Amino acid sequence: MKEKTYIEDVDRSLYDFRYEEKAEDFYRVDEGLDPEIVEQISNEKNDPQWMHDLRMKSLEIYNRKSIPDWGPSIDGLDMNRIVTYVRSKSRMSAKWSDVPDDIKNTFEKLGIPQAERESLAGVGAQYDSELVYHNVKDEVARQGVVYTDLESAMHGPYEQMIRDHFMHLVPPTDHKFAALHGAVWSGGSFVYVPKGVRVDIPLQSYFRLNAPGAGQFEHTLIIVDEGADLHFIEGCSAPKYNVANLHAGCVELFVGKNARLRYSTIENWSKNMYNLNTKRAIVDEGGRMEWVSGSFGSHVSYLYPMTILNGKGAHMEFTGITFAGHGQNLDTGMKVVHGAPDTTSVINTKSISKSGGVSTYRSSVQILPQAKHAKSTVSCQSLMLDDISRSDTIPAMDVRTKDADVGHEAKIGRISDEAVFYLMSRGLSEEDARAMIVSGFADNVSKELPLEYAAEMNNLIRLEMKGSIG
Amino acid sequence: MNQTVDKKLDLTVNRLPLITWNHLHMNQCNLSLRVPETGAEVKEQTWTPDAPEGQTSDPAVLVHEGHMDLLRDFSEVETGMGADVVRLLTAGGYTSDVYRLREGEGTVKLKYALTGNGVTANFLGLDVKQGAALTVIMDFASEPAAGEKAENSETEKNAADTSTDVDIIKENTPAAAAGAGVVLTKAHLGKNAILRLVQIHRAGNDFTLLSDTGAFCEDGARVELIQVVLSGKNTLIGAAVNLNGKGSTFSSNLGYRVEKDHRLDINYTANHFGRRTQCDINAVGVLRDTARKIFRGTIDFRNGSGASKGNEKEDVLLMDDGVVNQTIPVILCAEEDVEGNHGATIGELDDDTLFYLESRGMSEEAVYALMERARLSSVIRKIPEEDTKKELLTCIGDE
Repeated sequence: MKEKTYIEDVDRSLYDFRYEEKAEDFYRVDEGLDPEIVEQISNEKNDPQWMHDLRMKSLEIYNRKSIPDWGPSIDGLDMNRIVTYVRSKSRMSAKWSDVPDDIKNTFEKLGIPQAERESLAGVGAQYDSELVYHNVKDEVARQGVVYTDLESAMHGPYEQMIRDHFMHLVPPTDHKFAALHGAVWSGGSFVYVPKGVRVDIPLQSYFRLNAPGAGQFEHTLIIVDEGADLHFIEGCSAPKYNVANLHAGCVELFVGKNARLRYSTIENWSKNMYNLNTKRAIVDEGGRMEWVSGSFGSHVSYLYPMTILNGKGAHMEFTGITFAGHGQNLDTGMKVVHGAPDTTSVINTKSISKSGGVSTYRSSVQILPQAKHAKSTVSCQSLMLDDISRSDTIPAMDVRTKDADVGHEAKIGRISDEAVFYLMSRGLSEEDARAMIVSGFADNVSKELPLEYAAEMNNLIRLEMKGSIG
Repeated sequence: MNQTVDKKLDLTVNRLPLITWNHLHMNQCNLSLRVPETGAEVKEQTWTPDAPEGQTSDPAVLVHEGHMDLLRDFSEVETGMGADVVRLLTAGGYTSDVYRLREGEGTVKLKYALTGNGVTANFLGLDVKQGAALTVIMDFASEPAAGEKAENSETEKNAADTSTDVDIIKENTPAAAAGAGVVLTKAHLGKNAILRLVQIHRAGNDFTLLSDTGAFCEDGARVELIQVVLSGKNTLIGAAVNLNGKGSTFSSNLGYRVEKDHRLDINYTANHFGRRTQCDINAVGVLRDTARKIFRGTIDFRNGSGASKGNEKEDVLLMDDGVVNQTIPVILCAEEDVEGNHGATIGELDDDTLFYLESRGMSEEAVYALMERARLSSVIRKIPEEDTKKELLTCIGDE
């Protein structure tokens, strides 16, 4: 008789602590979304005119666009109950000692200052709608690397660069929540790595949404110039509330000729979060874009990092894992457009569904007529851990040149009895064998992360195995 | 004049069970068709063992019946194109044939003549009782108009190539008819019944053909579907098999060649309801000129389908730069104890194969022609009826 293997949910206790925000310490706009609120945010942020106009235009587009009809239900999200802008009354600092104690303690618990000391070249920490801390190591800054908040950058020497790139890759017309982002965005980071500069250790931005019923709309804009190299890490978490929270961030990545950008994300939003995030990269000739993505949190997720391979010989790799547990409907995947000759892409994804969780892998690989000799390989694997969960795979391929080579393979199934038997024949207990198989299943992502973050991810998964086959 | 003649219906067919991004234009096929006036001419209709028309009593033989009510008969059978095909047929006229095989083995051969500029519709019901095995060959072909010489009827030889095995043979694809034909096939398989269904699609250069199929399987039943597409301005194929019974199986082999500005739109669905059910969906094909093709294939493991397996594979050879190939292999899974696999290989011939064959004296075009024949032949050779198999192999120049 078969006994079900029991696998624990992701342990979120580390992330679920929260401080009650005192009203007098925070500034917040009213719930809902209308022109007055967008004006208020724009004034609060002292937007230049072009940004103010972009916000108002985005709001119009948002009101016109309909909700997507192809993904998980977001009926539980009521924009009239979402506060789109909340910030601490203290301003951003480059010293942790200047950050208010409650907020500082939050990031201490998440291990951000320690990580900064030990393994990062720079850190940005956002709390609700605004960055509260931003710093970059002197030696990195001396190389000409710019790592700052977007608001400051927009009022400095990089204004034109930002204006030339901001929401050009993800225009507000892209979809309803891109338009929402355009209207109410706040916070996020701007990174510029000059020509030929290699940033040897990663930069990290961490986004914490603490306020109940709030939205977070940070914008990350990264420009890696010709021949430059950067690893950027994004982390995010929130405590759990009984009301819906919304994350509609936007990430725009510009990878120059022969440049390389690795963008790693460990997403661990709480299970009341609607994560409607948009990430997109465009890669020039010979450039290389690498995505490493772990999705563990959120109630509902729509997340499909997209790469446009725009220059000859550009390359993209996507490595991702999604873990959908009780109450979660995680619709994740990726998109790639091969728009130039000799472009290549390698996609490798894993997903685990358990305790009624729904995991959907959704992707598109498009090879345009000019993408001669483009090559793409896709591998997606799904593991079902019980029969009350769901795992769906919807990969689309569109090829418009004969000189292309597209390979796709997908598997869905359970833990193989043969593999368990083999490992047991080598002396492992059944529990250990099953634990090893499931850990190995997630290994493709953890091995792509720096050691400290792989440990964090393993902590997130913390799969405990019980049971046996009699 | 019949009032329905000019009435048009907007149809949505071949819709994915779970849709994806609309901007990809892969979720479904939308088209507008005049409601059909009548059925296509069934030019030849032969079956063995023979039985008098209308016979419903024993002895246990194959029985051919007349008109059926689409809204009542075989209503438990879902098809690949979806409900809009029944809506279209019931809005106009259609002819119907139903074959019931009570036991033993039987064969039915049907040749449909796709002629005229109107819209025709046929319904075929197949009722295969417990333990019986029925083979059905359905051949949909356009006919040249009287006195009109079929185009491309002769063997073309690649002038640049002097080797002997490089003939590029194209079958007759006359442009006489510019109409549309709709053929709806529904099958019910009893316990341990077998249905071998062969469908050959060779509509004309201006003809639109909708070929929609569905089957319902009881315990241990088996559906073997073989489909060959050789021509047709617009060929739409839908096939859905509900594996309701324990241990029921569905295997499908599709071979296609799409050329000129023709379009092929395919939607397969294997719905696993019963335990230990299995499906194997295989498609191979070539695209030439400015042809467009979309292949949707869904394996759906429903709750309760434990110990089931599903495999799906498509191998597409792209032979010209103007082609558009879309492939979307979907696996939906609500059951833990299942195995689902899908794979796709899309693109040009690999360099090693091309180099080897060119080193043997073949031109690149000849190599591609050889590969085209090989792909089609691999499916045609699975046809269980010798005459049809031979005729098709000759047609593609492989005999």
